[in-house]
Amino acid sequence: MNQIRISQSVIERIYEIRVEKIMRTDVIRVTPDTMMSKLKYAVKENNYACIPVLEGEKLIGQISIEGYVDWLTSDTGDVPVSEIMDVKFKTLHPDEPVITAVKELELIGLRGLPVVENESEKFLGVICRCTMMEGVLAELDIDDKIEEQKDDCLLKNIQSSSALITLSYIVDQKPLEYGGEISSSIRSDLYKLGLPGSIVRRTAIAAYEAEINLLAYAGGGLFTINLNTNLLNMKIEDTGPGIPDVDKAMEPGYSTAPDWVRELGFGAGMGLLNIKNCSDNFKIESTIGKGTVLLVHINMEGKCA
Amino acid sequence: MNIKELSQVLNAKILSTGHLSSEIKSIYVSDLMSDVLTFGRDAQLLVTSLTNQQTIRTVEMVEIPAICYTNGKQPEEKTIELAIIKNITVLATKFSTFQVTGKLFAAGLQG
Repeated sequence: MNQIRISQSVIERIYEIRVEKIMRTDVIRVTPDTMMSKLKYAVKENNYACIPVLEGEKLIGQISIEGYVDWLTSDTGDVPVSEIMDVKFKTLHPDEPVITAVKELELIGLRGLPVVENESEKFLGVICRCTMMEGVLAELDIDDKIEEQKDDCLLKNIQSSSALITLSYIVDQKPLEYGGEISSSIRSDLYKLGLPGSIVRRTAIAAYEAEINLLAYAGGGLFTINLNTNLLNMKIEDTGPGIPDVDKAMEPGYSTAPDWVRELGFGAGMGLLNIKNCSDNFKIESTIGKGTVLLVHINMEGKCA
Repeated sequence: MNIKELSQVLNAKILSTGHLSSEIKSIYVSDLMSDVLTFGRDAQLLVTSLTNQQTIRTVEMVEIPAICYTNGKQPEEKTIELAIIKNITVLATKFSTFQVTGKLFAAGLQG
């Protein structure tokens, strides 16, 4: 399936994520004289990863989940943690790449590893298998947003004193359930051109409402978008049956939609009105037997930041 | 509350991950996509019992990052595929729309 393709930039970013970004710091820590019988809660709370044993802030040992289970099944009885804990074990540093942590966990076959400060060995947190992937995903998500914000508006940054870009899209007659494919392309193209989100969203909503109408009533149609530095013009035309009473069709709640349109969640009599509300200027011309033309104008002045 | 925490409140299955760490502040509840397009623009989650592809198209246009299907309805494969492509979180819960609304309101989401 093509949606699972991971882009090179995502892989690169995974390599850039450091251990400190995704480690858990809210884990339960214990002191050497804590009794083993008191660890039950800590084991669960720490995602069955490991329980760090601290003297002051310094990590001096750890109880791994494997070690805890060994103790449970042995006849040792209730003893202080210091008698059971591992004292020789692998630790991670906060500035190491997450990939290193992944490799270590795979290599040793453990469920978690403690993270300590480079020289002081001060305990900082734990990397555990179950929360690692979540952490990486959250990091990628945050990075995504930063990248989106970096995009500049193409039409505001060009040197030319005037510019005109024309985009056109044909809506073929298709079952209504495919409605939205064209609006989705429009939306994605406008983002690629660097238009601000507020403009793209209004255009996409108007386009989507219009696309549903084209498929439900007109057997398809044509979108033409003209863009210049301060205005977006979207023309939506069809050669359908036309609208008998345009004023009535603009009234909120007025609808002639048949059941099959309503079943898909449309036909509430809001479409045309919503297109108008998304526009700074809206015109509709309809001739019975010839078709309908919608003109949607959206001002970009001052909003293209 | 983020989407992940919200899914726990609703005991919901995550069918498409999308942006699990996205913060949810406002919710819109409707089975009428026309209404979502008109009034739902400030929401970060759509709660609905309609499960067709148009629900995903609608939240895509309005830029709502997550959708929660109620009444234990399982959306068809195409709906989930589209959501994955569009990076939209999809949750499915056994609770009714009314129960979902109540639980989320009680959990502090009142917008």
